[in-house]
Amino acid sequence: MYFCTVFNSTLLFVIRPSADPSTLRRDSRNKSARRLDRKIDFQRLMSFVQSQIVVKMKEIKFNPNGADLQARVLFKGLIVAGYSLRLYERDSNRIVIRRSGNNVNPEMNIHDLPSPAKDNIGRVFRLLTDLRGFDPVESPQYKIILEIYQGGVLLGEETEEGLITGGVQESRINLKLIANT
Amino acid sequence: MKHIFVALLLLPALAALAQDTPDQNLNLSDLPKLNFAVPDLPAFKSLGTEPSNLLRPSTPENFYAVASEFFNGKNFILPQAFAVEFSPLLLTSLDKITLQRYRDHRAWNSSRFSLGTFRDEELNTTRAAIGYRISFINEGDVKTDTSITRKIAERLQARSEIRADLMDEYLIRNNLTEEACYNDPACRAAQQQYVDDHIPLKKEALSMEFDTMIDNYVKDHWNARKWDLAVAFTGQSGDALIRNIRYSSFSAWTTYALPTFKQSGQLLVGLHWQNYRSLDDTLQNNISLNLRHYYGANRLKFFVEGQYQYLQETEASTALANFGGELNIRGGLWIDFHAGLQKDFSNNRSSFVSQFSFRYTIPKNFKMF
Repeated sequence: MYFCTVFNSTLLFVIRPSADPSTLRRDSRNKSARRLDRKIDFQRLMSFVQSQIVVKMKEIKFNPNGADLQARVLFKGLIVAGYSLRLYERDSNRIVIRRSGNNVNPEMNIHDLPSPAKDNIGRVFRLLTDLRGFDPVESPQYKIILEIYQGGVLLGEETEEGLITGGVQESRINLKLIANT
Repeated sequence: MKHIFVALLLLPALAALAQDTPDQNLNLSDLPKLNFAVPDLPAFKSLGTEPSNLLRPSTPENFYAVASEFFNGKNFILPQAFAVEFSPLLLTSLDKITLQRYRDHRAWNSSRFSLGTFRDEELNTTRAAIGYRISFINEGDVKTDTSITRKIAERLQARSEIRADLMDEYLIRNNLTEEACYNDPACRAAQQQYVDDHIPLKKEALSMEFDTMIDNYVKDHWNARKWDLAVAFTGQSGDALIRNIRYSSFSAWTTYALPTFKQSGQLLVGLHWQNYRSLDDTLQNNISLNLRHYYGANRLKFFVEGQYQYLQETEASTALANFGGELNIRGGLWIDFHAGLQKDFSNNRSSFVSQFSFRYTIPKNFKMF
């Protein structure tokens, strides 16, 4: 059973289903495996809680009359990661740029946005990452960062952090570009 | 005190045995931690407890320990020599560095320090040693070998593209935009469910594929090309007081390992130089050249070895013909055994030498906290 505080002291209890009698038997796996499972369960719980909360997409402001924009994808932690980065037209499904890459060739992870900069007003980024960690003990956490630059200056970033489970994991980051008026 | 120290050294290994239940889920991310080879620790070697002067290269791990001479032929005895080796970087968190940075600094990342002690009952002295080792070449590390990480990354990249296509497909079918769907939790969940239902490459299947790849990599790379450089200082004291320790020796090793017979053999070429204080209180040198060849697999292998050593003190040479093996019993536990003939050309006498030692690293599923 887990509990966590969501917003103003509202207590949310989540009871793990245990209808199957076999789950009532003592977990015979080692302690660290059980501890890792608990961490993953907690992370899933938090993801579920977050998914139920209305989250407005992060917005990053830029100068529409300034220099060209660039997006950089960065991965921290001892992981192997591959990603898909897409930029969508404002209020549309049209894909403006479609890029993919990985962290084994990080020099390929800086992407130029269409020029002039003002063309990117209202456009939306979606970064999907699939990753695998090497060792949950040596490097238990990962961090994925999508950075937006204008003229070489960092304007802002959106990040996602998580725990390495040992298997393949998924991540999603979205952000919107708006004019700095 | 010695009993407590031995017990402490044995704890991680015993914990591993206790934790290794047959039905446990084998986390394949742990596989890179399965030892490629039994390591030789510079601090242990410098104590002079082994006839061979070859320092075996190894893959960096958080922690290694070795105890020697725990079996006197009849009974198990308390070891006279212990040593531990640890990697300062690997003992700290690596969460904040990128894979590229780890790869670029792999030599420095491989820096390891070792501490060792030896009680010589015959001379009634205690020796203590501190060692440092760096691996300039280590082609057996899955984290830095782009031949395997690139394959994994390309598979992950392809999967993320498929996920992106499916997400777009969901948006088009439902006449939605990315922003509108993202800002609606129900839509976001439905979009994710659509991907989960339609993606041909499931996470679990891909995880198993990677696990197999890494498993095979570990098996195939126990004999990978490696080059280590190590040094160690040894001090000696007539009692157990640190303030009475005086210089005993300085040793330096370099060893190059290269694969032979595809995945079945490994040839080691080693050079060792030592400056030491002799019994008449003068500083002397010796130098030795070693050739050792292993044959077998990662968990069980045998070797033959030849060593030539020149001693300045006696202005004579010695030669050693050695054979032995090493066995990975379980988890981080290894047994190392060897026996051979040593010939001293100064008096033309030969003597039989043998050793049976016990080594281990932190087990793959052991957590200190």
